[in-house]
Amino acid sequence: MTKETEKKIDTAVEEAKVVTEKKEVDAEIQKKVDEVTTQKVRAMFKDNETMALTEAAIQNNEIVFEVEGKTYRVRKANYQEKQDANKYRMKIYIDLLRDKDCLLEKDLRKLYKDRGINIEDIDKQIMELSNQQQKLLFDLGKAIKDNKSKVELDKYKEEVVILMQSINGLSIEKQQLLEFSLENRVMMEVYSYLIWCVSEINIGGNKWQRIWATQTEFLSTTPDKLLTEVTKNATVLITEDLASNQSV
Amino acid sequence: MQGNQISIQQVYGILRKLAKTNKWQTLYAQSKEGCVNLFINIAAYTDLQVAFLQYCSFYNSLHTDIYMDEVSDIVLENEIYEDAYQTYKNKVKKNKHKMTTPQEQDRRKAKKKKETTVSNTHVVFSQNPIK
Repeated sequence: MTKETEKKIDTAVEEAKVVTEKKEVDAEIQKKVDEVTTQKVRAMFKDNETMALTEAAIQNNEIVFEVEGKTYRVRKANYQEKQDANKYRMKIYIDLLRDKDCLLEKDLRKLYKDRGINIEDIDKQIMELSNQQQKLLFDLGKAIKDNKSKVELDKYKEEVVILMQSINGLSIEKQQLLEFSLENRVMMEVYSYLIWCVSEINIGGNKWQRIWATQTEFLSTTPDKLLTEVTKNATVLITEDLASNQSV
Repeated sequence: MQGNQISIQQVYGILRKLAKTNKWQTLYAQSKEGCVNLFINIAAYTDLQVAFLQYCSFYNSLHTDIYMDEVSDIVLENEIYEDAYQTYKNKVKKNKHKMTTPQEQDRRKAKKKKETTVSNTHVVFSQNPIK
């Protein structure tokens, strides 16, 4: 074999290597693109599903769904159930108040302060950022009204987005710090109570009965597809009851 | 259980998206004329329904402003633009109201009342009831 032939073979081998590597990189890129597309499609379906659920909730005050061939619904709590939920909330509140290991939000704030975490400072920061956000929104609104260029509008928008992200970050931080406050625990208990109240199974025709006969039965259920669906759908309908139950 | 729930913010975000759709804007406009009922209940609206109506009204107002050439339709491009325009509009309206003194407001009210009375009287007599 001449030197020239050897050189040609080496070059061909190198080229083949490059082609193989390029193919591998392309395949990797394609894999990533597929993953992102799948995630986007999933998110879109999830969004559409949630939109349909909310639409049903505002129009009919109930959401009907099927799990493994059986029909279920969650509905808006009626007056009596709301009254019962309120009584339950008071009972839980008093029970937790007797528990010395359970701290009220104000005591928890004090405890954090002793540990060097000042939640009041977080509140102040949120307030300051919100004021800045309002000013920016006003300027952006004026720019929109004055038909300013898209580039200028988007500059404002980016600044608003940064502020919004900072506010959200601080709010989440505050929420996490206060997660184990007595008030929050009461809300979670009422949330669970209301879910049990409004979740029903169809027993033929237009007849419905509670999925779980007692709250204890509901609380001892092992998480499964039904519980996931019930929880997700019920949240849309009991949102307002939870919001109105936040303050004791 | 917490992982499965949709947050309150998410629910309100969806209400807003729904209110912006052509379908709900048309239905909302029709409901104002008394042609259709938006919900299964015709009274005792839930907080969720009231919030939804507020969003419908918000977008209805934006569409009206676009139609009246008060603002370009770029405002509907995203929620930040929408909120910004509404913030600007509310503040301008509030400032206009503040700038007028209480005496000026009384004078305007009195003038308006007088005009209404005159125009009503005018309508009554223009029909010439004595024939």
